[in-house]
Amino acid sequence: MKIKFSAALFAAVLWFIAAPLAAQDLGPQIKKIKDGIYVYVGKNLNSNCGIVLTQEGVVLIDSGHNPTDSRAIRDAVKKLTPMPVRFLIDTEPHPDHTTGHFIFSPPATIIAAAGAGESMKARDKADPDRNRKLAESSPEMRAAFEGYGMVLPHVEYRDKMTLHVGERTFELYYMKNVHSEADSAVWLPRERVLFSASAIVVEQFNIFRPNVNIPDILAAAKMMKALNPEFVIPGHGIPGTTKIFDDSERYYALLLERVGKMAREGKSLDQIQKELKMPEYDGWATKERFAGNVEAAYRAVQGK
Amino acid sequence: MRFKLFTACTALSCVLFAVGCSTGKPTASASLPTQDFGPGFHKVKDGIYTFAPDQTTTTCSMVVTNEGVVMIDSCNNSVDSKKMLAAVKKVTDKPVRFLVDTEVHNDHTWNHFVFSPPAVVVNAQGAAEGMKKGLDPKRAETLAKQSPETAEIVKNYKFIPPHIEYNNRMTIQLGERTFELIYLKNVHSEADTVIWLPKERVLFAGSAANVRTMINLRPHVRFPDVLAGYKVMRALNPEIVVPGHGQPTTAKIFDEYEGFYTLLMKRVGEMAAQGKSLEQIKKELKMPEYADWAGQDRLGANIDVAYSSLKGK
Repeated sequence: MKIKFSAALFAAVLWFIAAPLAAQDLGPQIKKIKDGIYVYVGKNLNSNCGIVLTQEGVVLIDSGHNPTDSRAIRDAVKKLTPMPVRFLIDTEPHPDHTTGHFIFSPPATIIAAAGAGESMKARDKADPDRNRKLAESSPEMRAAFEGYGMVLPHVEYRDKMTLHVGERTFELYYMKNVHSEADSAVWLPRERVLFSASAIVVEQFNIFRPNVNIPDILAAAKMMKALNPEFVIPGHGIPGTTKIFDDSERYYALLLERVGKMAREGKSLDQIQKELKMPEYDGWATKERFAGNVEAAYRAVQGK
Repeated sequence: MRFKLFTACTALSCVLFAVGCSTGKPTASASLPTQDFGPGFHKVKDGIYTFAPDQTTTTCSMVVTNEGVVMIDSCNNSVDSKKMLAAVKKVTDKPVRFLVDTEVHNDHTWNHFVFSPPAVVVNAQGAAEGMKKGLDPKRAETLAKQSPETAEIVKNYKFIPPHIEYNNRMTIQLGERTFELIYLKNVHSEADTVIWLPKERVLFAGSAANVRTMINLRPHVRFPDVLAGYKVMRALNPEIVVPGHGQPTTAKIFDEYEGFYTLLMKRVGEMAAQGKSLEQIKKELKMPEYADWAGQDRLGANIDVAYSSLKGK
């Protein structure tokens, strides 16, 4: 009886050790996508972070929205595996994706598209108080900033690169003029999982900077859709499928159609920005960005 | 008197401490004289060393930064790799963070396992496939018979293809140094990379040009691409050029090889225009101007490439 009990206990212990952690054990923000692939979904449309386990260590896609998120991600990684974070791939250089580099590197090697380091430095110079103000937002944030230093990418690629870690392959595609100065889509071909960066966001209006063009966004969406992903993890928003691209394409097509019609009627950009309504998208967040979307559509229809 | 002595000793200690603190191990010892590493090592610049024992053996190099070491190629054989690793440990206590291959062939890549992990191995797209194609599954067994020292090292052999394969260009930023990686097409192997350190003006030029040696040219190599590669490298205006084989030199090697390949193509072209077959050309063609170059047995392969290049194949 005692032997049987011991054997049962041993088996239970083994099962406990070997059983994969359920995503709910990792906190409410973690969503399991596939075996060994998780996403820390940013709260309130904050930036997402991908966690990909391999036999040779962990690969992160982005580093969390801010240092408290980064530390939560690091804690989740520690629950998942004793292996180190070997690589951290940035989908863009903006601070809501990159401030947390210092939590993971060293030892992680940080990879981004060409221009990412310069973009990070320029932003830091333009707003040198950003991190101090953020650290003052709460005692938790102040603690999370401990040891902060700006860590720039170690590797910057142009156009395309491939990363092999253990049994997994990550294909990185540079996407021009879609959101920041250096945007990367990260594609896992065997797993058919795509980290689609912030070119396309979910149920919110995207922010348009002067370098961003709607035709380039649509071209990037076409390229990513052609990869035929099963799962699409955007830079911000709930992970989904290629429906994310379809929704976005429909939105931009309608926006371009309406802006084009008003421009042909001789209306100025200011008039269009004042008059144009898109009631179909009333449910989308970040409405304050709509005027920027109209401006980008106006540029596109003018062929600029 | 005792107080003065104490004060002097304290001051001296402070100076020594300050020197130690301000330089730290990586910087202080990064300028070690190369005789401390053993024969075959050359100091290129502060913190940049190559192991190049002669004119033809595969060169491997280390570049020390304040965040770790970048290796260029993994050395001709496992004993050389261990020598290089020992030299690295004399220079710095930081790890080898990156290992960049200038080509895919075994004499540059077979010893990845000595450095990785922890090194992240990098080469251009197609390198892993190229390495697999050239892999001899019995190589470790064969090499182990060479010496007990080799046998001891290769018992840990593991095939390690590159972790990173880039397209066209890539930059590594490690500590205070920048490494620009440039892909050169059809110049030697299936994936050739040159590594340029712009601040230091040091170029690791791979095996498109070596030191007065006829290169073992594979059938896919094309002289127009090779000459274009020299143009790219020369335009960087390097002060020091470290070839894939042989000791550190200057951009004059590009001129020498350009002269050789241009003359070779001219002569092959003239003979082909006379209606001579490739076999006839290989039998008859002489290059007495280059009789003192090493690797004369490779002239036939060089003629093959000249012939294909001229035919536009």
